[in-house]
Amino acid sequence: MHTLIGLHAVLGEVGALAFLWVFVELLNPNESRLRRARIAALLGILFLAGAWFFGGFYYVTEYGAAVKPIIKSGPIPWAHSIITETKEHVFLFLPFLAILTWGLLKRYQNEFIQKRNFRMAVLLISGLVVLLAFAMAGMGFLISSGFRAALESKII
Amino acid sequence: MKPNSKALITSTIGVIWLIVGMTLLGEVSEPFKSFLVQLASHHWVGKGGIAVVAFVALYLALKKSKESEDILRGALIVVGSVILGGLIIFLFFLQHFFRV
Repeated sequence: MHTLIGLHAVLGEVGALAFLWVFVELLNPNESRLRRARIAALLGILFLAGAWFFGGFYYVTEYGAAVKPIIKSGPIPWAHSIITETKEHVFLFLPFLAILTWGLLKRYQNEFIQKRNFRMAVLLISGLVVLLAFAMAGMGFLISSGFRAALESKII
Repeated sequence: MKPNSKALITSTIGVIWLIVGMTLLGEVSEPFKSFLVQLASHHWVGKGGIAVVAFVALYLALKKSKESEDILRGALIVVGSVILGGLIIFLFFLQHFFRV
């Protein structure tokens, strides 16, 4: 257990929930729902940026030296070689998708009430942020499992 | 000031493919990986830094461009780029793992 990993996971999950909130507000928008969606998207950007910072700090200062070699010597080395490698790079998409969502909400404000196409565009991107963020959590579970399996295999 | 939707969408698509390109290049080219390390002490931090700078630069370069009403098309290209780019990264590391 590591505080930085806890912060990374919590901030990432809350960020995902913020974009789920955006998605729900956009399903049947009015002025107050769109205002809330803009606030949720802005909060989502901040939470995902925090997840990026704390996860990145942990990855650079701890993971490479203390965790990666153990996973790679354990029974499921692919937890690092495939899952961590994919996660660390695909994660980088998320902050930009979050900024795009907020930017479109800010640009078109109340036009989403009338224009279904605009609504669909933001629904697609915010839904993608939610799915991608939860996929990151799933990959985090696989990486933790790889670490635990390596430790258990050395104890037993 | 309201953001320019075309600049935002294009910058996002550009940065997604830049991340995919830097990821693959970093694995196959040692000089490029060393350059990233020199830039920011860790290759991953280097990629993130370049992505942020590229996003801002692309947005600023395109912020005066004429916006399109068809942002759904742009959103679909963003979604397609994320799915395809993510798959390329995953498949690259999958084949790399089984080849080593």
